[in-house]
Amino acid sequence: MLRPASLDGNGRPALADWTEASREALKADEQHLVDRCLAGDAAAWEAILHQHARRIYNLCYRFTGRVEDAQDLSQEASLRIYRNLASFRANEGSLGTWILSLTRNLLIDHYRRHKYDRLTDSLDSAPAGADQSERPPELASRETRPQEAGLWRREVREQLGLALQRLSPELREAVILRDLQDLDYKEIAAVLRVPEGTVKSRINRGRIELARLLRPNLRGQAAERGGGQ
Amino acid sequence: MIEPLNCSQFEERLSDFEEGALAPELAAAMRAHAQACGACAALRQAVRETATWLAELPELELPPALIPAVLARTTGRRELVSWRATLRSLGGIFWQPRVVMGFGMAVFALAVLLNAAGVNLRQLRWRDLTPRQLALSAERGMHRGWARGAKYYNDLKVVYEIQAALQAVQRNQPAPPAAAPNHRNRNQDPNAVFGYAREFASAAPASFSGRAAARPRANFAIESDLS
Ligand SMILES: [Zn+2]
Repeated sequence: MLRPASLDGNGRPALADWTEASREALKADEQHLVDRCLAGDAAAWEAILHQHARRIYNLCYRFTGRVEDAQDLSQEASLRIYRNLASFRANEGSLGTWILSLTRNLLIDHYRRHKYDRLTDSLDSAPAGADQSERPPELASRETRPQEAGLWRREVREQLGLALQRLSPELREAVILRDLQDLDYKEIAAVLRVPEGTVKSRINRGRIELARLLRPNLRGQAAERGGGQ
Repeated sequence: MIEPLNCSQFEERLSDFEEGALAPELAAAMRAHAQACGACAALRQAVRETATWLAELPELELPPALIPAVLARTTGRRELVSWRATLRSLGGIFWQPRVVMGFGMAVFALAVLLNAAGVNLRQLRWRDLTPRQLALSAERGMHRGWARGAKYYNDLKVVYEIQAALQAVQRNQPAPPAAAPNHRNRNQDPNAVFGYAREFASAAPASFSGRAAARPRANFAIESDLS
């Protein structure tokens, strides 16, 4: 009957063919969907939105850290996507990658436009928040009592969201795409249009930077170890 | 055996190490450094935790208004539905001769404007109203636009008359929802243009032509523009 060994023997080439075929089919489907949009089929555009809007929105939210900004920017990104549908080519990459790429370009534009605002903002708030040193110590020692676990978790999320905002946009987008949106290195390279090696190193640096922001005592890298916990 | 790593070399390879992407000798060198260097061991632990926390960050639900808002600004689909519903709910008012006449004039004005933008209504096909085609024809229109400026100045007079007629109606009736879908949406969605014309054509022609004839000045302007 069906023994794993025989399945492997016969199944593998067939499976490879099948995945290749399904990849081609997906490509054709995506191009077809986009072509329908371009031909004025409103339902096709609606289908694309339903499929991708949530990811666009979450990318915008994690990048800006603000719900209102995420709403505005994801709407703007969707309009940009709609207007540029004619430039989508299925054989140059998936629709999802292309959409994230346009969204990401918008986010970077937005970041550059508002760089100065943020600079003056942070200068204004500097006296109140010397927040680097004021980071709550709870993060460094996990609260294990169950009734406080939820609170602790919420605190971690909040701090992590804030820490993401403090990364440079290059590191931030790379970490978001990898660790929050689960894209692989190849896909991220396609979205950001940089080599895979660059993607890897940005993700690595981003994670380390985040870890240091969340645990300020790591910064002084001296052998001040042991003690705590 | 390869050379021992320093701290920055350890950092550089940390993600690869954690993801098991390093060659065995290099991975061994990483382990050796982590055993010897407390700071790097602590960093490794912290990066692991950070990765866990990142993975646990919840994905936000899409705000329910977002997709409808995008649709309204692209295909105009949602708005079209409510626009038709409003028309229907206006019922009796809409079919009064004066209102019908006003809408007839508005349809004509739209045709004039589309024509000015380079859209030929007689040969209008589904494809002409896609974003790409509209962009193309707008571009083509730009070149011709200036040369035609003088001619269409006369058309503006017609549009002005239409506005005046509509305003006269609005003084006595609740405002028809003509302003609801904006002009751009109507251009982009073929249904919006056709639907509008269809609803008008299905019930209006008789009273429209009757009324139009009763207004010689407007009628004259229309004829001169068609010639
Ligand atoms: Zn070290």
